[in-house]
Amino acid sequence: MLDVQSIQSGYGKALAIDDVSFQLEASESLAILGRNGAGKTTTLKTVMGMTPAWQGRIVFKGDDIVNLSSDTIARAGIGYVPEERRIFESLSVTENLLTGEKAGASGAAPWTVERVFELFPEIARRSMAPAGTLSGGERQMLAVGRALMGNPDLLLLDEPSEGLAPVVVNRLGDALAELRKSGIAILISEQNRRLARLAAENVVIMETGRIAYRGTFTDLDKNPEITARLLGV
Amino acid sequence: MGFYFAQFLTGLASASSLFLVAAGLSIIFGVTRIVNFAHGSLFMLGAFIAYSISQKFGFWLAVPLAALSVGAVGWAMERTVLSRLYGAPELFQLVATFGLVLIVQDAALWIWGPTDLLGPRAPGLTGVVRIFDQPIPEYDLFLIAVGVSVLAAIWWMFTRTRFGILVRAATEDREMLQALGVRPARLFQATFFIGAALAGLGGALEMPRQPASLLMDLNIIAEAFVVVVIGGMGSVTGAFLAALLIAELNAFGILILPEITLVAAFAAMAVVLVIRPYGLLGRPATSAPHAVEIQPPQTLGQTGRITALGLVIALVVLPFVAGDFVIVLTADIMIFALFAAGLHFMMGTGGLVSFGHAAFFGIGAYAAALLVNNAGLGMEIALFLAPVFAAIGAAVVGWFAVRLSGVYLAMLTLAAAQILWSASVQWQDVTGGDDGILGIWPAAWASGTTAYYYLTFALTTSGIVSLMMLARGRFGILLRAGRDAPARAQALGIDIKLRNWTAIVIAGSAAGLAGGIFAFSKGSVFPDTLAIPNSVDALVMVLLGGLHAPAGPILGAGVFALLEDSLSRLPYWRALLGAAVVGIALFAPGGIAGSLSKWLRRRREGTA
Amino acid sequence: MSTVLDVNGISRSFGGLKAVDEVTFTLNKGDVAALIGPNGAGKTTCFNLLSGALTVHSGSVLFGGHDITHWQPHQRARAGIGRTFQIAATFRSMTAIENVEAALMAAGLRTDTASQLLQDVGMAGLTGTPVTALAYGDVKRVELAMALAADPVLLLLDEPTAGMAADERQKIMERISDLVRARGITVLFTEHDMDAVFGYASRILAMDQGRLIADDSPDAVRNDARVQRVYLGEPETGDA
Repeated sequence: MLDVQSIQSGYGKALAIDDVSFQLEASESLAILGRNGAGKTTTLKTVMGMTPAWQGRIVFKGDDIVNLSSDTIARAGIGYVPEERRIFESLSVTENLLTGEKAGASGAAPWTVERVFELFPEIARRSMAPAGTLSGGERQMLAVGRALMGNPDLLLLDEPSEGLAPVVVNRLGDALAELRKSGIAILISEQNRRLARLAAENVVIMETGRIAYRGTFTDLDKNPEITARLLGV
Repeated sequence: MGFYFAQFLTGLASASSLFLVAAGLSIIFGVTRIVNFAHGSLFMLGAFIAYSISQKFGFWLAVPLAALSVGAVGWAMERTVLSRLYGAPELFQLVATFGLVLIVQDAALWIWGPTDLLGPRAPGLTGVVRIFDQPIPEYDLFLIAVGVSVLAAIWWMFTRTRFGILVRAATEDREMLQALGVRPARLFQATFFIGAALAGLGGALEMPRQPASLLMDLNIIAEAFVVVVIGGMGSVTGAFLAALLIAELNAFGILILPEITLVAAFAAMAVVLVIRPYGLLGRPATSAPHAVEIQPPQTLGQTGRITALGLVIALVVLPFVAGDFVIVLTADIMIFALFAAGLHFMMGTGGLVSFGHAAFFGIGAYAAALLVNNAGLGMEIALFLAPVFAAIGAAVVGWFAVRLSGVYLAMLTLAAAQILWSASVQWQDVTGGDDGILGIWPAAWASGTTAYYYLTFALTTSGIVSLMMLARGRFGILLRAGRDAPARAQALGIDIKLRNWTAIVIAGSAAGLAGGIFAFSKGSVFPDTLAIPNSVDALVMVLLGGLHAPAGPILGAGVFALLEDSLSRLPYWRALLGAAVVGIALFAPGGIAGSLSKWLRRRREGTA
Repeated sequence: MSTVLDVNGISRSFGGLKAVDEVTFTLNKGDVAALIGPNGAGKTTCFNLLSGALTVHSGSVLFGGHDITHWQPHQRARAGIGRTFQIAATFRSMTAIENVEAALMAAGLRTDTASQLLQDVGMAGLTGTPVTALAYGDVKRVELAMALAADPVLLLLDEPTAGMAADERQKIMERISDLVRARGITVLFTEHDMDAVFGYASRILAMDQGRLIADDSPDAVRNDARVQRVYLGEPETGDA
C-alpha cells in the first residue's frame, strides 16, 4: 500500500534523512524506532508532504504522492498525528474532531464523533471544553481521534508516547492495538519500544538519518546487542 | 443624564460600521496572514455600489446586494493578486494590497465621478425616538441592532458551521489543518468573500449617515487599523470591543475638546499596548515571516562610483547651464531622493516597512513653517529643528512598532499619517486647514533660485551620503543582522528593539529634513504633504529603484519624477501607479537597479 | 572550583503543560555538560530559559553571581553567555567572514580577529563566500565562530552535530572540545548523538517530562535505571 523508495530530505541545507526505503502492505503495521534526531519525524513529514523530498519516490495505493500538497495526501487516505499533537487549542474537543472530517467517507463504518468518544471515553467527558485545557494524554487521544475522523487507510503516528506517563502510554497502546484489528494500517515512530510493538509487528531502526536495521520485533528481541547499539544510552 | 445616554447611543451606532470593517479585516488576517490595506476601499465600494443600486431598487434591496457585490470584488482580488503572494515576503503582500487601494480609488472616480453622492434614507426608519427626552434617530438604533446581530451571526458561523470551525482552526495552525485534508485555496477564497462582504455591508449602511465619497477608504482603514491593533489581530470579539471603545471615545471626546478625538485613538492604543502587547484579545504571533527578501546589499562597483562622481559634478555645474525650470525640478528630485533614502534605509537595511512615511515629511514641513511664521525663528534654526520634530514623531510611532511584529509598523505608520492629515485639515487655527500656511521664505542669503538650489544640494547630498555610510557601517551591519536572524542577533548581544527604533527615528528625521527644505522651496505647506499619496510616492521611488541597491532611492526619485512629469497629466495616473506597484510586487521585486544588475550579471556571464 | 551558572528550581509551562518543572543544577568553571532526554523532555525549553529567549514562570538563574532571571537575551549575551541554535542561524545577507565580523561588532570588539576565529573552527578557505552558498557543515562552523567571537564565559550549544553527515559529526565535536578546553569555556550542550555525548561530556544531565532525573558522571548516567527506562521504554520482560 505504501512504498517509500530511497527518499532524502532535510531543512534548508541541513540533511535530515538519506536513502530511506520501506514498504507497508494494507492492514500491516510498521514501527520506526530510533533515538532523537535519527530522522523519524522527517520521514513521516516527508510522506505527509509537509517537508519536501529532495530525492526518491513515495507510492501510495499505486499513485506517486511524493511532494504533493499535504491536503491532497490526506484526502488520498493518510491520517497524520504529529509529534507536537498540534490540536487547535481554542476549539472545543468536539470541534477539533470535526476539523478532521472529510467529505465522501468510504468504508462500512465511517468514523464519527461518537465512535471516537467510544474509543477514548476520557475525552468524551470533556467534549465541550477548549482543547487547550486538556492534559498531555488527552491531547494525544484527541489528535488520534481527529486523524481517524478522515477515515484513513493508513495512520501516521509520530512519537505518540512523547511526554506521557507510563499508564497513559499503556492506555494508548490498547487503543492502537484495537485500531489495528479494525484493519487500519499504522506507521508509527517511537522511542518507547513497548508502545511500538503494541502498534506494529515490523520494525525499522533509524540512526543519523538512515535505516540501520529492518526486521520484526520477534527477531529484534533475539538480538539484544542491536537494541543496545542502536537505541541504548 | 439623558444627553449623555444619547451621546452613548450615537457612539454605539458609529461603532457598528467600524466593527463591520474591522471584523472583516481581522478574519482575513487570521486565516491568510495578510493585512489587507484595500479593506477600506471595499468599504468605500460598498457605499458607492449601494448608492447606485438604491437609485433603481431602493434602499432595502441595495444594502444586501452591495454587500454581496463587494464580497465578489474581494474574492476577485484574492484570485487575481493575493493568491500569488501567499509565500512572498510580507512587504510585497502589503505593497500589493496598497496598490489595489490606488486602483480601486481611480476606478471609483471613473465610475461615479468626483462628487460626493448622498444616498436615500432608510424607508421606515427616518424618524426619531425619544429616550430620556432626547431625540435618537431610529436609524441609529437600527445600526446598533445590526452591529450586535452581525456579531451574533459571526459567532454562530464560527461555532455552529463547519466553515467557521475551519476558519478558527486555520487562524491557529494553518499547516496542520491542511494536513487534515482541508484545501487552503478554497478556505482563503471564502474568507476573502466574507471579509469583503462585511466591509461592503458597513459601507452600504453608511448611506443615510454620510455621502459616498472618495475619501472614505483611507479614513476608515486608519481607524480600522487602530481597532484591530487594540482588539488583537485575528480576534472578532476583540474588534467589537475595540470598535466600541474608539467610537465612544470619539462620541464623548468631541464634547470635551473636538481636537482630542484625533489623538484619543492613539492614546487608547498606547494604554492597551502597554498593558497587553498583543491587543485586548490577541495572541502573540507564532512565527513572524520576513518583512523583506533577505539579500546581500548591492555595492556600487567601479562603474557605479564613476557614475556617482559624474552625477555630483553634473549637479554642481547645472545652474550654470540650465534654466530655472530645470533647476527647480532637479532640486525637487533631490528633496524626494532624501525622503526616499530614509525610507530605503529602514526598509532595505532594517526590514522595517512604513506606509505612512509622509507623516514625518509633513511634520518636518509644518514644523519649519510654524517655527518661521508663528515662533518667528529664522530659516537656519527652522531647518535644524524640522528633522528634530520629525524624529520625535517617528520615536512615538516607532515606540509602538518595535513592540509588535512587522505588519504593525506598516499599519501604524499609515494610521499616524492619516490622522495627522486629518488634523492638518481640521485644526484650522494652527495649520490653516486646506488653505495651508503661506509665505515661508528662505533667509535672504538663500533666497535666489540658484542659492536655494545649492543649499538643497548641500543638505540632501550630505543627508543621503550619511544614510549610505550608516547603512554600510557598523550601525547598518548590526541593523541588517537583526533583520536577517533576530534570535541570532540577540544572542550576540544586539538590542534589536533599540536598534530598530533608532533606525525608524533616523529615517523619520531624514524625511523631516526633506520636508523642511521642501517647505522653504515652495514657500508654503499644505495638508497634502502629509497625505497618503505622498507616502505612496516615496514607497514607489524606493521600490522602483530597488530595495537592496545603494543608489536605489536616487534612481527611483529620478525615474519617478520623469514619469510623473510625463504621465501625471493622464486622467487616471494614480491607478497606473497602483498597477505599477502591484506589478513590482508580483514580477520585479528587485526594482530597476535589481533588474538592471541581474541583467548585467547575466550578460557578463553569457559573454565570459 | 568557581560556580559559573546556578539554576534554582526554574519552571515554565505552556497552557496546561509543564515543559520545565523545578529544574535545579549548577555548572562549574570548565564543565562540559550534556543535557539529554527523549523528545519533549524539556531540553529546548530549558535552553531557551537559560539564553533568555523564554522567561521563567518561577525559580531563578544566577550567572557569575548576578541574578539574570529577568534579563533580556542581548543582556545575557553581553554578560558572557554565547549560544548556537539547533538549526544554525546566520545572517543570510552576509559572507562567512562578515558574519563573524558582525558578531565581533556586536560585542564592541575590533573585527580584525575574524579570520583567525574562522581558522580556529576549521574554516580557512571560503571566508568570502556568502553563507547561503556554504555547505551546512560550514554554516555550523561559521555559527560556532560567531558564538565564540565575544569570548563567552558560558557556551550553550543546541545540538552541535544536528543536520551534519556522519563523518563530519566527530570532527566538529573534536574541534569544539579542543576550543573550549583551550579557552577555559564552560559548556552546556544538548545532543542526540550518544557518541558525541559520551565521548565529550564530563558530566551529563538527563531530563524527562520536564524534570531533571539524573545529574552525574557519564558512566553513572549510562547505568542509571531511570535514564535507561526513558530512553528504551519500559524494560522488556523475558517473555515479551
